[in-house]
This record gives sequence, structure tokens and C-alpha cells, in this order.
Amino acid sequence: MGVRLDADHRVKGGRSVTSTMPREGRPAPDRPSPGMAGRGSARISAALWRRTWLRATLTLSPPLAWFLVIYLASLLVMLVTAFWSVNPFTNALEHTWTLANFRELFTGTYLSIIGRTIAMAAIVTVTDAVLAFPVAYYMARIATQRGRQLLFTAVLLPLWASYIARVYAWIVILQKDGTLSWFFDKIGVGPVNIGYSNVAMWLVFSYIWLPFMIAPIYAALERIPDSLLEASGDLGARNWRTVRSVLLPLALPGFAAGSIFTFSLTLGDFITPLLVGGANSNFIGNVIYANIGTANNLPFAAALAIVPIVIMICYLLGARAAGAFRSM
Amino acid sequence: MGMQNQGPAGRGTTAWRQDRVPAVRLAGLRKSFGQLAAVDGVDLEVPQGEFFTMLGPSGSGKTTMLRLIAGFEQPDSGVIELAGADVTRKPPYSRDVNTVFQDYALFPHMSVLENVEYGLRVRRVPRAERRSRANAALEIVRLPGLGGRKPVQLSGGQRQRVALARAIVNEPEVLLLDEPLGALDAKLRQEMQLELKRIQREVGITFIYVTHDQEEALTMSDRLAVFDRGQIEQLGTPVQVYEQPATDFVAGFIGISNVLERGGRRFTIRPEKICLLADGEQPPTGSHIEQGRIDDVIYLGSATRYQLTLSGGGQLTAVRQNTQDAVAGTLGAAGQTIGVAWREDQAYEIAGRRRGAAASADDLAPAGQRPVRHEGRERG
Repeated sequence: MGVRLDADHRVKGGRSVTSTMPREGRPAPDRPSPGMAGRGSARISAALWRRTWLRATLTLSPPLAWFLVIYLASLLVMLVTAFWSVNPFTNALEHTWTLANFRELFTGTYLSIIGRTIAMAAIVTVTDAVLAFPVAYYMARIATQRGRQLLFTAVLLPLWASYIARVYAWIVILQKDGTLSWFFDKIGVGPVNIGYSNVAMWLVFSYIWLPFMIAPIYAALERIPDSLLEASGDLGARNWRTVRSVLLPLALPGFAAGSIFTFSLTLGDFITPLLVGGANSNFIGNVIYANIGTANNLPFAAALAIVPIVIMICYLLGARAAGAFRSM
Repeated sequence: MGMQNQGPAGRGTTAWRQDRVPAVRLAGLRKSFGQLAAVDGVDLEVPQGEFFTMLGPSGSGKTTMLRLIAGFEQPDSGVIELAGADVTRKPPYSRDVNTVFQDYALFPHMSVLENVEYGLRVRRVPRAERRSRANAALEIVRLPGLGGRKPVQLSGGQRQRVALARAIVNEPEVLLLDEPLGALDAKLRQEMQLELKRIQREVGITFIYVTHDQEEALTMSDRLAVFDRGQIEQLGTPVQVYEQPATDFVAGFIGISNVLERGGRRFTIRPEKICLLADGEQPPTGSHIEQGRIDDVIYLGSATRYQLTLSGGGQLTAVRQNTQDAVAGTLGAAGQTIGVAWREDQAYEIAGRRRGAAASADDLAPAGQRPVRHEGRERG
């Protein structure tokens, strides 16, 4: 065995391990023989050191097993369920293949709900991108070390508070006779009432997901070397031109990563529409929730749940085609 | 080397004319970072078409000088003039200078051609002219046909050339080069030194070149300034600076310095100017002769270096070419005493004591033997 392993060494760049561990199958007369336990563990680590694939397998098996059983299996079950149906009289699951659920998705009510969800996700993503860029830019390129730490804490701090608490805080601000209405009344604009509407949803979503946009844009901006911006100025570009031609294209992966968060998080949400949405504010998530609970139509809920997945797949493919992942 | 007129050129010639407006004029330039004076009162004129080098150890202020000229830093006081126009308070994009950055600073999301065209595109040069000028620039740096590649697909030397093309395509008044060869290996560096010199001759643009490598400075420059602690220690042609170092610092930083004191007179003498006398050998007439004990013999290939302790006091380094008659070891081994001679006219008196800043070991290594130092961007 010793001979074979030795050959192995030479293949991997001729590096020797003798300085750190005893070589197997060969006496080492110049070195005191290590104890049995020490020798065993050294042998194991030596074997692992030589076999990269074994190390990878051992490290990745537990999470991969978890991923397969818990995540993919449940997803698969959902996919299968979507092709079943519920007996309208007995409310029992019928295990016969049907496309009825998907056909129902393309009727007016559900199409408008899907449309509303996608539109809201898109508007929230654009809003967050516009809001996040200046903040991230200031944090990454202007602020001092201390200012940067402070800002980063401030950006992440809301994530420590409960989602529900933060949404309720917005209800206090936005509702009739709320803080916002009071303020506008005081400055003479008159009371405003935007609570329980799509506008309220837009504000709350944009607020809640903003940190998820700031962080990746910040990371992307921070990685851009100063010399690239200096080079742009040196070659005659004014500040705005440098932002447009150098800074924004290089920050694109950050925007892409952030937008994946804000878009998918909005797409899958059902609590904010429930709490601050108005009469016509149902999201895909709300319909799924209703079909699992009160309506007790699991197959239709499953079919509807596939919609955001398909949308996200299209979104990711689009982002990749746009080159968003090229420098990731 | 030096002030020879070298062939035809574009709008400038290597043989500059002093009556013309200098390409760069600096007067009383100062810049501090906190307590540290990075540039401490520099006056300098660089004539048009010159290959001018700012040489100094890291922290000597040479890169800050470059950044002041480019406009990336604002001076605390002083005046910067480009071709006679005061640009002290102007932003980088309004200055007719271009920079070749130490890390090349190529835009990674653009192709080579887009990189080279960038300056022209920003200045709204029409597309057809842009193309032809960019391709011409790529030809000058000997990279034709690579325009479609992305910077990551290029080798270090190729990136270097693209960075150069991107700068010269704008035909600036002055080209600033910030240790552009620092990241290349020794062989490629020597090749690029000659290339840079050729390109400078071809385009006729004034080059201001920053380096800590004395060999580079001596090889390429028409004139050079040796910087220490934000001030110019000596300004002159490579021959002047090497043969007649004005201060201890210059003597120590460029080549190997032998600083000796004889009869209250301090002077330097270059190692290769010292004659080591084998048994019975006669020194050249008019030589000063002393006895020296050999401390160390170091074989360098083409030459052999001897470390000696002189009978008259002081240490001496002598270099002797390994010619067909004088191979290493023929003069004697460590511990032996031999005759040491030099001509009085090769000993240059130096002005003051060194202004501090003890030269480090690698500062004292001979040309071509110094380890490559990748110094980071210095701020003073």
C-alpha cells in the first residue's frame, strides 16, 4: 500500500507529507514511533488529505440528505398534488390526474391576482433599487469606517424586530387618523387616507425588504477598486458618466442579487396584504392560504403555489441572460 | 542614454527645446496626509517630449506627486501647470493628462477595444474615427486583433499594453505612469522597459514615470528626480545621478554606495570604479592606493563582488567583472589582504550628511539583483 500511496503523492505535484505525518507502510527510523491512537487519526487525516472527493462527500452528505428529503421531496409532493383534485361533494382528495386546477388559474379572478402580485413585486423591486443605491454608495465609498459600521447596523437593525410588529407600526402611521394623516393635516394639505390600500402595501413592502437590497449592492460597490473610478475620470468622464458607464454596470450583480430577494419575498408574501391591504389586495399567497384552510382545496393551492416558482425561474433566467451573474 | 536625439517623433521630439513652454511645471507643491508631509515643497519643470522619472523608496512621495498632477489629490499649496495653463484646482476630467495605473485599472465589463475607446467615446469622437484611432493605438502597443477580448482573458503583460493604449489613444499632453511594470516578472519587465521607451519615441508624448526601481529609472529616463521624504534629493540625467550622487541618500539608493572619509573629505565611489590589485599588479597611474582585507567574496555570474575593510578605515564594496583573465577566486579568499586602488577623479565629494532614512539592505543591492518589491499604493 505504501508504494501505491507514494505514487499518489507524486501525481499531486510531488509534495511530501512526511513533515507532518508518518508515511504508512514504511518504518521511520529517525522518528519516535507515535502511539496507536495518534497514528490512527493521522492515518485518517492523511487519507482524507489525499482524496479531495472523499472530503467533499463527507462534508456535503448531511446537508445534501436534508436538502433531498425535506426540501425537494416536499416540493415534489406539491407538484404531484397539483394534478389531483377534490371531490366537490365529499371534499375528499381524488388521486386521478387532471389539468383542471391549472385551467382554473387562467380564469379572470386568478389571473388578476397573479398580475397584481407580479406587478407589486416589480414595483417594490424598482423602488428598493432606487432607494438602496445612494445609501449603499454612501456606505461603500464615502462613509468613514465608523460611519459605515453605524449605517450597516442601522440598516440591519429592523430585521431584529418582528415582521408583524413592523407592519403594525406602519398601520399606525398610515391608517385613518394615523401619524401621516395628522402630519399632512397640520401642514395644511388636509387629511390623507392611504391605509388599507395597494399604496399602503407598496410602502410597507418597500420598507420591509429594503435591507435585502442595500446589503448586496453595498457588497458589489465595495468590491470596485478606486482606481477604476479614477481611471474613468482620468479619461475625461464627468461624475455622472462614471456612475453610468463604470459604477452601475459593475454594481449590476449586486442589483440582481438584491432584486431576487425583494422580488421573490414580495411574490410569496401573504401577511402584509392581509394586514395593510384593502378590499382588492389579495396576493397569490392569500389565495393559497385560503385554499389550504377554509376552502380545503389542497390540489388547487398546490397548482397556485407553482406559479411563483415558475415566475422566479423565468426571472432568474432573464437575469442570467442580462449578464447579472457573469461577474458573481 | 540621456539627451540624445532619437529619431523622428510626432508632435514632440525627444530632444526638447528649453524655449518651449514646459509640459509640466510645479511650483512650491505641498501635500500632507494628517501629520505626514507626503510632498514637501517641490519645484519642477518637465519639458515637452521628455521621459521623466520620479524615483524613490516607498513613502517618498513620488506617487502622491503623480496623483497631484493627475488631479486625484488636491495640493495644500502650490501651483500645477500643464503646458502653461494653471490646472491646480481643476478636476481630473478637465486635465489633458492620462494615467497608466499600477493595477492597470482596466474596466472589466468592457472589451479591450471598448476600454481603449472609452476616453474618445466620453469626448464624443465620432464612431469611425474612434475605431481607427483605437486600433492604431493597439497597433502601437503591438496588440492588434485582441480588441474583442475581455481584460480577464489577457496576460499581465497584455493588460499592461492595453492600459497604455487606452491612455495614449487620447494623445494627452502628459502621460503619467505609476509603477506600471511592478506586477510583471523580471524578464517581461526588461522587455517592457524597451517597449515603453520605443512607444514614447513614437508618440512623442511627455512621460512622467514613477518607480522605486533604480534600474528601470536609469534604463529609460531622459532625466530623473530622486525623491526622499517628499522632496527632490537630486535632479539630473541618469549619468549625472549615478556617477555624481549629490547626497548620501542618492548614492545609497542608486546602486551600491561606498561612502568614505579621508582627511575630513567625504566622498562616494562606485564599486565598479575600484581596481583590485592581484599580486604584483600595478595600479593605473594617478591612483589612490590602500590595503584592504577581504571580508566576503560573492559570485554574481558576470561579476564578483568583494566586501573589504580598508586599512585607512571604512568598508568598501568592489565589483570586478569576470572576464577571461579574472574569474572569481583568482584574487584571493576571505581573510586575505590585497591592494585597492581608485582614481581620484572617480571619487565624488558629497554635500551633507544623509538626511536620515538609513538605506535598507535591498536598497544597497546592485542593479538587477534587487528582489522585486510590490509596493502597494503609497499615500505619501
